[in-house]
Amino acid sequence: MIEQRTLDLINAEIDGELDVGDLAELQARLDADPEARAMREQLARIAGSLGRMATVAPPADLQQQILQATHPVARVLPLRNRRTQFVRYTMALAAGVAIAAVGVQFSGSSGPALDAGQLVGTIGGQSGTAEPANATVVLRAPDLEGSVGLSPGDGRWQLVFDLASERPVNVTATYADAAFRLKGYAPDEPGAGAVTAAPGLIEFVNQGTQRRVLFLEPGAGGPVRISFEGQGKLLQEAVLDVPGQAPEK
Amino acid sequence: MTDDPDAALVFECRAGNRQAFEQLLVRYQRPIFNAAYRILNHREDATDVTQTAFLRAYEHLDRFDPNQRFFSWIYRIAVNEALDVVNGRRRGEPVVDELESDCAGPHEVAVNGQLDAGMQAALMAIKPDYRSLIVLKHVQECSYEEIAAILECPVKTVKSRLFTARQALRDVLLQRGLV
Repeated sequence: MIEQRTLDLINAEIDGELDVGDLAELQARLDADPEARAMREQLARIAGSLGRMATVAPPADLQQQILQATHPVARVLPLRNRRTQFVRYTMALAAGVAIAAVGVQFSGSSGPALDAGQLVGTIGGQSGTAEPANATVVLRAPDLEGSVGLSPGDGRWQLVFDLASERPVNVTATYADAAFRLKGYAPDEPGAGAVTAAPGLIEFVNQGTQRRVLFLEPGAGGPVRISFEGQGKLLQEAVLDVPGQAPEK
Repeated sequence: MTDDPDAALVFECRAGNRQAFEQLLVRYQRPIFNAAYRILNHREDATDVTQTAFLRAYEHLDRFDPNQRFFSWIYRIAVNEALDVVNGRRRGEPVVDELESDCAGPHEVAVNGQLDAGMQAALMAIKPDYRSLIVLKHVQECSYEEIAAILECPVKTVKSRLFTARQALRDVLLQRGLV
């Protein structure tokens, strides 16, 4: 049976908390107690092994995901690591923004692909009575130019992004779940340029001169708030009102 | 006021400077992730815990007490999150250590190889609150005082619980013939 004082000294030594006097006392106790010596050796080996445990690198995109989730406007749910606990907390965090947790990631096959001529045609061919109040917002910010606009399509609304940026710009659109449904997008662009979405949330990254059209199936209608972020900074925001009815064909 | 250099970043965050938050993130995401990983032995759970800890901190920056250290605060949030995950855990699959290059050299591996190889599994066999204490002390190399601040308990309690935790770990390793 090892004396409690000896145990205390052993543990203190393991933690590097012994002064010279205590160290001498411990040594005397160890000299007189083989069981204590064995215990000390075991605990020292355990501490050494714990100290050798490898440092594990966090996922490369962890920082970006956290920064996206703390966005000052959108505070949206990161899409690529959507898992229960994080979803639960982020939902609470973003309650005011009304983001549902059942995310859907749209892959490359998600929308009706249109050629460039069709896209130009639909933007130019606005008609109908349900006209959006503020159809186009011009974007002028450091490293971002272009426009985002809402136009009528074939029984649905089209959110059209014409963007030019040398560096990656994160585009995030948030809206009330019931305002509309994203039915697809064009062009199909797998990989980094792909559009990802969850109810109430659409995201993609723009780099270079690109046009994207998002096809919106009318719902209750309401504003869609769009933020453009580059290099960790908010470059510009835009708000477009999506009507609660389909455009006339 | 505190002399904690992180406190200034917290105040900048409160004023709306997102880059200040990014600096805190850069500084602490790796140790927080590693602490969570060693407590949970699961990479994705550790990622979740790290994300949640930083989001909670961000959401509650106004509650940060400048008389304490940001370090202690974010660790406390993360450890509590990790323990919540352990308590509600449904997944069972362990994660294999990925970084062999950080381990000991050939001689030490020969002597300590079995012990090192079995250490994470042995950690998982002791009570989660003991495990977090051992991780904070021996893996994260926190002092008694830092652990006391993280766990919000007296230093004396940290010492006595740490001794008990180490004894529990030793018992597991003895049963497995590793020490």
